[in-house]
Amino acid sequence: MSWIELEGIFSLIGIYAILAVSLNMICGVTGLLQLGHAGFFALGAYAAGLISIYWTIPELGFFNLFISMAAAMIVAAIAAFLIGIPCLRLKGDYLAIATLGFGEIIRLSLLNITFPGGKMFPEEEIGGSLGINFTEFPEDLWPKFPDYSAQYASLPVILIVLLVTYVIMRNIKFSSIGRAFMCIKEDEIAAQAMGINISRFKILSFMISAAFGGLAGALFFHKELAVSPGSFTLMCSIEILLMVVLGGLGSFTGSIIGAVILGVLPTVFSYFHAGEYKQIFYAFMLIILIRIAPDGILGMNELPVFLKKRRKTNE
Amino acid sequence: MNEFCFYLLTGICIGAIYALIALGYTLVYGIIKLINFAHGEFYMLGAYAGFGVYCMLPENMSPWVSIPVILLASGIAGALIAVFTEVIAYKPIRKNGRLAALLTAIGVSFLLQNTASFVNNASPLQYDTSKTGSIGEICQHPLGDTGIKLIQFHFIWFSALLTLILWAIVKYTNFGRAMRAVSQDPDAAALMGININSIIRKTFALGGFMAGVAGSLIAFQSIITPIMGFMPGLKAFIAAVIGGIGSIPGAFLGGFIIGIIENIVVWFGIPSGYKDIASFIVLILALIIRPQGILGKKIKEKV
Amino acid sequence: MNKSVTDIKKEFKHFFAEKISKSFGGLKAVQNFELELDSGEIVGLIGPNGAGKTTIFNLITGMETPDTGSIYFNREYITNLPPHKISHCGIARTFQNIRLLEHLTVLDNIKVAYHNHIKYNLLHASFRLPAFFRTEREITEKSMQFIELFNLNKNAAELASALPYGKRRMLEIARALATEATLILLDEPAAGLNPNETEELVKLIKLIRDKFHVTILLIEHDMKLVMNLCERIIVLNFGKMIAQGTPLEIKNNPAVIEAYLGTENRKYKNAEN
Repeated sequence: MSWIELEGIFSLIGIYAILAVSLNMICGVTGLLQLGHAGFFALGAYAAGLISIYWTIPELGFFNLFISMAAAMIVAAIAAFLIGIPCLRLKGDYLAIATLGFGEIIRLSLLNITFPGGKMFPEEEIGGSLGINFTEFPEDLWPKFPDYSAQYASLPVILIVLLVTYVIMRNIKFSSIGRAFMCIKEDEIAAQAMGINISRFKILSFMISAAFGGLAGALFFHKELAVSPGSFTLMCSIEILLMVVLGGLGSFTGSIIGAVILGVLPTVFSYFHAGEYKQIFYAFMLIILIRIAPDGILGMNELPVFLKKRRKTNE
Repeated sequence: MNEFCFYLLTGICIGAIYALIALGYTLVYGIIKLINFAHGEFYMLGAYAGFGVYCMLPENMSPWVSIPVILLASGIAGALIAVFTEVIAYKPIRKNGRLAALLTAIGVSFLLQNTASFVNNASPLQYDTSKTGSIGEICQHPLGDTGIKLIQFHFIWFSALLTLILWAIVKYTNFGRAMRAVSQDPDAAALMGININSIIRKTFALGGFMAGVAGSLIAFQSIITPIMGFMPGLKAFIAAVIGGIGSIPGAFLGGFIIGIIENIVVWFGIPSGYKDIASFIVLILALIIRPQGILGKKIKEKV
Repeated sequence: MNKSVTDIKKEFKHFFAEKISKSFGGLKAVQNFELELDSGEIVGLIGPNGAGKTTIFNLITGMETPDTGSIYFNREYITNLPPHKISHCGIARTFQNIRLLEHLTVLDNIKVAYHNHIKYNLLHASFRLPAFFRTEREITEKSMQFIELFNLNKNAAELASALPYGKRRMLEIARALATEATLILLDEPAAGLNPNETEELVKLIKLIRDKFHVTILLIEHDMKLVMNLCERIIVLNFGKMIAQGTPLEIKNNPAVIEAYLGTENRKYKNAEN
């Protein structure tokens, strides 16, 4: 296998890891089952794509990535706010279905909406079922936009963003905000009795989770340079959830481990020419995992545990 | 026939199907508080089973005989698969909590979908429409100039009939009484000598039967694919929720509401690509305005 | 210029509930209940099961809203506030069936109580700015004080789910106290405790009141504890207050005796005849 292929696989795993880590904040730490994460992934990717078309500054080159990432996070966070207000007062199964509904609404909307092509695709409409596609960029436009053939999101970039995401999420978890989230997960009534405004914190958790999901979307766009609604299905949301459950609901380290395991699986399957069996395997895995290891690999613990202990003795 | 009536009628006909599927959701949720994500797959597998039986029937059999046979077979297939799923996948994790149940149901759903895709390599199956007098052909006969097919119209009374029978079972038989007891308080029901596991299995069977029958009804005049259960399943769930989850008349009502709304939306001029979104929006509105549904009851948590 | 008695109460009492009522459907759970508490009092609320005691707690803490009446705390009108705002005002409670955060450590359980007093926000937490470390150190110190006071040192790093029953009660009370509330509602704190533990509890509650200057309102069925601990007792039956007074007065109050022992006395008298 060539280095380029490997880099592609690892990059994708890195993006999945960011998705899993972000989903873990709302599902694992705050205990709210959310089945629409692919929606925020999609919003982030499309935000990045559209920003790249309309508002990119060629002189900045690589740093356009930061503009994309910021836009993606903001769009996703706003969407989470709007979705969260009606949905987060629902309990358990109903919340799951409502978020699933929104995930589908986002996907179906992106499937049907088209955007003006702007200066990059003049007189064309982009979007719809073909999505945003830079790889079929007309050659004669390249001299005007030299950097758009470049994939800004290379493997080192993705890994750095993953690291930053992981550190921030961990920091939040081990703070009073994280404790408030966990309190909501354990017992909402006790949480209220201790002064926690559950609505506000649920939305906060949702927005944080969505923002980093959107961030993953931006990276996805800048890696693939092409996104279409077909990548953001319910199955995608469920794969991410599976990664989180596998690693342990509540453990960010576990989410990364889960992403790695499930990220290499498709490669393993295609190596054995058993690609069609991948989905069946996932389904089996979901069913069996819940039975034999409901807490996942790490439960709610983070690694390295020794870091945490050292911090405790410092205090 | 003006456009509005066409969409309205189409909506009512498909609503009848949603109602049948919704009944299964509401029964299962009522009894073990589980959203059986895989329920849409019972509908799909019922359609496949019906088609399988159709292929085994003699070619010159009168549709008056073959259709009931196929429907019965689909229902039984749906019931069997439902019971199988319950015993193998849901019962072992009954004590594990809601998340476990939901994830398992999702897993079962995808498992069943993928299993079905091995049939005919996931290419759509269809009842042969070329031969005059065959099921496929007569099910394409239109109902006058309304624009809908005659058989779609039959969905309505058939669905109402099955719902009525189901309602009578729940209200007037011992089995129905036992079902209601288990849904109210499983422990107390067990102490009264009710075999909970048996009642749960039979409930799944009933729901699966309805879904399987619905599958073949649709299959007669449409196509059969492995993913045909996904959207109708979700919409039927939405129907059960807005009607009042746990309520049989509620599920019946909800089915028609969803069917009508999603078609009226098209009449309003919204492109049909957005049709599915309408149901989700209705769901979210319902969950905000009246989460217990039209005919459901509110449950408060005791502090 | 002329202030009514009620106005005076609103201004000077630590806590004042004026004619609160609550019905659930047709059931009148609480009827025209009035309660006043002075700062530093230990008051008991007793009555048969179903008398409405926990409902009153729920009304005070905002879990339910009263149909009629008003509630004042520290001169503030708190009647319709949601539970988390009531917590901010300085009222804390424990629950009849203990609500601990099972998957968190004992120390974390107490740290959560400081939620109202956190002096940093999301930004500080995410990037570990100095304000975060400062506040966390403060919280840990304060939490450890409570852990010492409630004898939970050996359990500080354990998960709450691992605690024995007596310590679970202690932890819940510690948590309520750690919110730095000035009014603490204890819902059957002695339930499930043996006589030794109950005696320890009496001493502890008196210590808490003396050391932290809090007002305590408690629901209890254990009469020995109530008589030993409470300076004033309110008796509730069918949602109405039927008696109020010192422990001695309540012990000899015929209405109270009837409410608790009524039918048995009558049976006994009839048997004698």
